Amino acid sequence: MTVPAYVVGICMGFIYAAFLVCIIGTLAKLGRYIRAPTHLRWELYPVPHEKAYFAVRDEIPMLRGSFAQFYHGGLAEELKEMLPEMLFLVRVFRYRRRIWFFSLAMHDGIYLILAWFVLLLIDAITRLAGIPVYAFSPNPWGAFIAWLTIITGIVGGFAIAVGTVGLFIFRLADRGMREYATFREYFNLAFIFTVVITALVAVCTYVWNYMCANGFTFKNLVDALFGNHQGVFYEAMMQMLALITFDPSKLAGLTFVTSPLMLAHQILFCLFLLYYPFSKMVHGPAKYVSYHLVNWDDKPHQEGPLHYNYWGIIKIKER
Amino acid sequence: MSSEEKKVSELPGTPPGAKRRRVLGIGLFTEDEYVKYKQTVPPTLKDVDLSLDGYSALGLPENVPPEKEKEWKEKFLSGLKKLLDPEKNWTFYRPFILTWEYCARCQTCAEACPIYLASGKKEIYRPTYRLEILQRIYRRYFTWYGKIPFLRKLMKADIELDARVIKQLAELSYRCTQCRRCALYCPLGLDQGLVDREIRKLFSQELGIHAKELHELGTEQQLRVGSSTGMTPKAFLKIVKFLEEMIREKTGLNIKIPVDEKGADYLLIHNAGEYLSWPENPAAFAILFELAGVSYTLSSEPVGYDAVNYGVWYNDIQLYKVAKKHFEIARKLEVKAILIGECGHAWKAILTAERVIPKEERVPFTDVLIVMDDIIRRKKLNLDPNRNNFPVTLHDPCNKARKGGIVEEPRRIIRAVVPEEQFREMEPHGYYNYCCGGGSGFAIMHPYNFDEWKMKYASYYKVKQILEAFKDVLHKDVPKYVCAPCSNCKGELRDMIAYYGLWEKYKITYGGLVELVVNAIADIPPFLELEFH
Ligand code: SF4
Ligand code: SF4
Repeated sequence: MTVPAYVVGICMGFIYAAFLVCIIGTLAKLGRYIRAPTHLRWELYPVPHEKAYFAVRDEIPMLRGSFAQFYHGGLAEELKEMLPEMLFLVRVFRYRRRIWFFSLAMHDGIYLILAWFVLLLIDAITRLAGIPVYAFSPNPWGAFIAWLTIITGIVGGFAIAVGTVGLFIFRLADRGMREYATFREYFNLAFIFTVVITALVAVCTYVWNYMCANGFTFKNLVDALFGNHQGVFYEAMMQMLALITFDPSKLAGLTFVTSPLMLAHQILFCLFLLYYPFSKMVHGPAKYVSYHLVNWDDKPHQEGPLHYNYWGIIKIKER
Repeated sequence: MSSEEKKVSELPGTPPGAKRRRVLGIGLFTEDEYVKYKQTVPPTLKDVDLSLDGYSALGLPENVPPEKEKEWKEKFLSGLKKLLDPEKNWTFYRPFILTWEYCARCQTCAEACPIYLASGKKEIYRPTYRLEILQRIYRRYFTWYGKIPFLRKLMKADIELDARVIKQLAELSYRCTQCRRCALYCPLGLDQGLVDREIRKLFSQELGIHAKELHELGTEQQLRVGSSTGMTPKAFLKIVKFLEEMIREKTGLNIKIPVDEKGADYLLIHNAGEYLSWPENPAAFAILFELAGVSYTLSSEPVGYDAVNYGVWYNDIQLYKVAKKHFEIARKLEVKAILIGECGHAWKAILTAERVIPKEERVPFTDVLIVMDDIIRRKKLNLDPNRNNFPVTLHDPCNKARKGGIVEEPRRIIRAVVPEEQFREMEPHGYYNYCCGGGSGFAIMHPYNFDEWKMKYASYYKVKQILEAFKDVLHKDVPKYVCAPCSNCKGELRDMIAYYGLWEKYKITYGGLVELVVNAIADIPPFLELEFH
């Protein structure tokens, strides 16, 4: 079954729009927190960079220099704390191990899919440069990134599927989580799952059909994934190429990415992108604000917006 | 841990209906259970609303006239709106809105909360419970689906605001010590302790509902008389004379304690409670600073001799007013810095309030633990650790450690004044310590039957930790010292040692840090007596 070309074209337009809305929406959301008035100091120790805090001591002549040996690094220390937290969910591992596995699967799955998009971009650029990109490419770089694309995409997709299902079940089974979850929390998980499962089903169907037709060999399996001028990842790369060159003609002859199920997947994915900035799921980027601008914000002598009409009753300071 | 958790909830006095049932508002009881429970309480509690969990911190009346209910309801909703307004609530909008919008209810924070755990995991003490209630009320009144009856359950927009719920939520905001341990555990860096504070703020700034120990007898009295203890400047000066006398008697030193001396390096402000309950603490500071040659002065101006600033727990306006006074007095005395005594929340309050003080009115400030550490590291004293030859453990005040960044300093000090084998850490300690149970004002709040709640729930984990830290020396012949460089922690320790009989059974007592330091100064007679009263 094929879909008319204009549908594919509309779909492409939708992808651009959704991508833009997602980026702009997320930045706007973050901007709202970053531009919010300077709140009162409410830091929470340990603060990985200690510079500003020690400045409090350094502005006191009697103590000046006395604590120099305890200075810590700046942003580097923050990243050292932040990165493992983002990648491995350290706090969940330490304090709430029961949900850690599924939570990690979902979050790291999402990171992998983000990396996968970047890989597709690299695939497309490499191909533009004239290097053949597919699993058994004679060019080692072409072969390397093709394999990386295959592994990242498949592991990422399955991880998200497993993670969302697991978390959904936990939400239902764990008293604390069930009682406190709203309809939206379930909806978000189900939404992510639906986006991912449509793609996974489409991929599996394509690969299965290909192997039924050509025989169950390893080579055929790989060809169905990322072969030379065929396969699901090949088509994904071509679609990326079409997107970055604004050239829908690059989609000509592709059967997988223009199949109804994959179009449904793409539309769902776009809807997800449109929904994301307005959902609770922005907590990823928002986490930067809550750590960097709240918990680790120990800057001394910063003034709050004293002229505001605080609480609607008094001006804390008349100016 | 779980068997002990059970035990706590089985202690006599635990209200019935411990299972989570929201038949009567948001509390523990069903209607029948509450009626029965009310029949068992003493007459003084008959007219007090105990419907949250059988206890009362605020003493709100059982019966609220309909006009009052209507007024409360309106004010509550308008206050809730203000909390979510970046301008009207600029002081805490950013941290609050992040928690409000992004708490994923993953419940990691619940594993951190000593009150929730000590209660045997009673639902109403779960860190996210307060936020949940608040949001259900918000959804009910401020969203489109909250207006459609059959969607309310599904969307969890199902809490109707009435006088009962308002009273229970007000009480509920006084069931968290704002220790912010939960915030340290939260994978998203969100803060349920702050939510508690903001709810108290809503009640205080909008409805005029607050704990009288914090407001009428607290900040209001402090601003009016000079101290939340009711101490007047005259009384303060008398106490200073008494301290000089005490120092002479104990050590033979003739020390004149500097008061209102302009141009000193530091303006030292103690929690005024020290002068009344633990005078050896300010006396020890007088000795230490004299011998170490630290230039400082006390102030006898109202508010200048009391470091407390209860506003940090419940009200931004009071927080500002008290902090402003502290900075004003420091500028008048032309000191180089304000020095906060052994009082945890005073340190947090000055850190927090700094940003409401305009730059030109600000004076640098620091903490006595930092200065004592400095004195010791510069080797200004002749110290003999063997003077403190008894088991010592250190309780980190949440406000100094997790909320104030001072963790290494007291440890360096203790290592210098206590024999190494006598010092033991509690587990966990430092940034991860458990609150003593007196946080957020609980240490000074003793209304109705609230003390019982505090002892059973808020202080339980501390007691457990203290006993574990001393487990190899529990014998009655060995006196033991819980060092807590914070007035409120000391108040709570005093109560819990009495309640759990730790002195009679195990000879465990408590005190500040400077007492240990002065006791170790080899040039003067021993200063410390290990007693409990
Ligand atoms: S740990 Fe953080 S995100 Fe999870 S429930 Fe607690 S406050 Fe919410
Ligand atoms: S601040 Fe402390 S007492 Fe309050 S909810 Fe968090 S962990 Fe529990």
